[in-house]
Amino acid sequence: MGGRFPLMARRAVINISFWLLLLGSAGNVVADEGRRLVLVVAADSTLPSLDRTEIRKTFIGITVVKDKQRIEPLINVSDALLYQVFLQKNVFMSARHYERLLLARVFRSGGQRPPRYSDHESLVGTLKARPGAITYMWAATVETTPGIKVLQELWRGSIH
Amino acid sequence: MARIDTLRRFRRSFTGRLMLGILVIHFVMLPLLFGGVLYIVQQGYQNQFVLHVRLNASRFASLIIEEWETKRVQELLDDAVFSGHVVFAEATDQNGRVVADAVDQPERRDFKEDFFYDRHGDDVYYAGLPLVDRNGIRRGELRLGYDETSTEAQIALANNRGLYLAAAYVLLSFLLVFFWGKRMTRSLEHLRRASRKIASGQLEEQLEVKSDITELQDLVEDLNFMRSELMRQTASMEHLASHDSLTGLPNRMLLSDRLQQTIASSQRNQSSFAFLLMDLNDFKEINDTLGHLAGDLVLQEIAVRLRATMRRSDTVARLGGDEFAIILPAAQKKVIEIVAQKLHDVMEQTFVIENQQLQLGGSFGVALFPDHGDNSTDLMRHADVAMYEAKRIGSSCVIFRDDLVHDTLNQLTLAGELRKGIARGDMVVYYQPKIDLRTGTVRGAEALVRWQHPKRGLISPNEFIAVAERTGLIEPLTFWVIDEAMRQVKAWRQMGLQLDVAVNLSARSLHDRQLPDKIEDIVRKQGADMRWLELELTESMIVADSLRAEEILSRFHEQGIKISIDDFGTGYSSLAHLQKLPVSVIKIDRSFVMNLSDNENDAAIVRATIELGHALGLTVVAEGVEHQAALLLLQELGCDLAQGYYFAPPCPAAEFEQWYGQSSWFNRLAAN
Repeated sequence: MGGRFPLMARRAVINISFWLLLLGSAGNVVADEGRRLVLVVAADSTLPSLDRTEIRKTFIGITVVKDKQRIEPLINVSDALLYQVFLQKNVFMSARHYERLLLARVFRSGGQRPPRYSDHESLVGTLKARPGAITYMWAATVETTPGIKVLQELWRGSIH
Repeated sequence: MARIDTLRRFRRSFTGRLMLGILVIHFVMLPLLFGGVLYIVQQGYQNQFVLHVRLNASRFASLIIEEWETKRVQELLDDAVFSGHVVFAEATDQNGRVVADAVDQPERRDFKEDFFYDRHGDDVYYAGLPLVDRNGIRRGELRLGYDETSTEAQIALANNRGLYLAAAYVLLSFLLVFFWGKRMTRSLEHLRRASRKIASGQLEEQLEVKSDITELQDLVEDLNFMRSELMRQTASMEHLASHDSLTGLPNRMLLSDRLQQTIASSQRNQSSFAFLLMDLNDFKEINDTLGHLAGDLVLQEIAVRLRATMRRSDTVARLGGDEFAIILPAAQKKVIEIVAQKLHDVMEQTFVIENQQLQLGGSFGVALFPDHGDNSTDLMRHADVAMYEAKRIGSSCVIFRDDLVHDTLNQLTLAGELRKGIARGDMVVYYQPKIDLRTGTVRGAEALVRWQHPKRGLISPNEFIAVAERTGLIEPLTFWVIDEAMRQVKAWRQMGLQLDVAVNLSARSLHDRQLPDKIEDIVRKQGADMRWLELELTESMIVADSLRAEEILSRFHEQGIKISIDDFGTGYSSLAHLQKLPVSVIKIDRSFVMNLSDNENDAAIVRATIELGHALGLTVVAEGVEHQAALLLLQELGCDLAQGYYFAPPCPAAEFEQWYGQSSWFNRLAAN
């Protein structure tokens, strides 16, 4: 009996931790009312704001030039929710279809797919290094990240 | 219970184990395989649904903004809900006020936007699209709810079909494994039956299995190898079990079998056959003197000779020791006599073993079927009796006669009684005087044993000495005679009779290296002197094992015992060898002395022997003097001593003393 108790205790701790984490994440979602999805460029970027079609075109791999600057999209996959909100509100595609589309375009027209970043630091580093580069982030993230700025708001709303 | 046993056996069988293995593998692999496939399918359906929702919502938003001013918004929303895919539609202005809405059920009004499939678990995917006009001005928001249940149904269908496929796959696998296992084990079962056949001794059938499985073919090859090895070993063992390992001849077991077969065959054909038993003469002496290796070589040589002499249809077997047996199928009495003569001749030929020439001989006993027995036991017993008789009478071959049974029984009875007689004190020592032919004095006496049987009276040594030698009783008998003779000679010397006494030694006694010590013990016990004792040996006893004889005779000589060569002239002694031995007396055999006066040849032999004896410094004694003519001739030839019935027959000690007292030989011989 003495031997089994620690095992049961460990399992209980693991279960409780799991549910706490789940509840914690749910609480975040519930509390996350009034989020803002924004288009972000480097702080020294001179890019003007883009309309919805331009944003959609550039992120599905179609070349967009604005004020003689070729816009270079950086796909931010560091936050799954952010990625899905961006796809739903701006690209209007599912993630898998979007990725297939990008791949098909490369096969059909050549060139390179927009680079994907799962690491926030490297994303910001690339953004700062390339003047025509754009990406999307939560507005709150931009506020805590130096060297980048909000180009325009893409969506505002609550997430349940 | 039987069913449980069957299941247990099946579980332990090759097929059972195979199926269990497949089951375990599938239990681990199938959830991974089908779970993975179903997950991919599920993800595909969900992504397809999300794509549909996002594209459709985007287009619908574009349509709504086009009709924003025409008040057809409500109509479009209703159409969307009527299509079935959209279960909730709502358009709000820029202040969030609902402009138009449509819903298939009232409870769907709780709009919680989804960004992942089935995020809220309400079977509806809610998506909100901003309504932006051509000028980029946001006019409101379109909220749509898409029914997830059709996708769920597709996923559930895929899951079900996946499960059915998995089940079918497992079932099919089981069936295939079952049949495959059965097919494989069919070969194994065949091998099992074959191995049982091998175990039961059915080794002739070559194993064959119709299988291209390498391991099975290897196993069949190994089993066939094992089978052939077993056949070889079995044949070897059968040969060992039925043949004598030394000579390679059939042994007693095989002989018995052949004898039974020959009896059956002869009974069927109404024919006769002969069964011969042979025992070597003096084989024990060879073994004892030259060693067992030499004895083995002799036996091997005999086997070779017998095989070479006999026909292929005859059976020559070794029964053990120096005993051989021969079956002569379809043999008549005349044929047997010829064969016996051939065998005798073969056995008489000199054997050269370890550079020594040996003279052997065999005693054959023959029993005929059906005259002397119609079964193997009788035939063997009667052949044995005949062989015994041949040995007894010194013949090379004796064919069984009915009276031999009685003789043999007598011999056996005699042996038993002799043993008792020695213990009981039935034995009596007779003394025959030895007369000095120059002085006429009695120089000594030869001690001769007699058996005073309580029922049969006095029994001659000719009747029981041979029995005593065969049964080993000769040794205690010899010691008894020496003991008695030394006691007597001491008594005589105390009485003033200065006599020595001569005792005959058996050939068997010379095998005992402790003999000088034992004799010394006896003489000492009687308080007698070793010089009063003379031991008589025959030439053949010395020749048979000259080295040992030389050793023992030297011991006797050192002890002061005189050695006499008895029956001189009848054996094959080497005079050169005799010269080296510490012999002091030779006794001319009675066969030469008895007809001395009538036979010139005998006289010549006696003369030569006396001259030779004297030349070697030996005392010469003539035995068997039975009449005066012989006595006179012996005196003339210069013989030293004589004994025989002419002087006195062997008689008990008391009679000897009486004879001694009345003896007038001194005067009579002096008168010659």
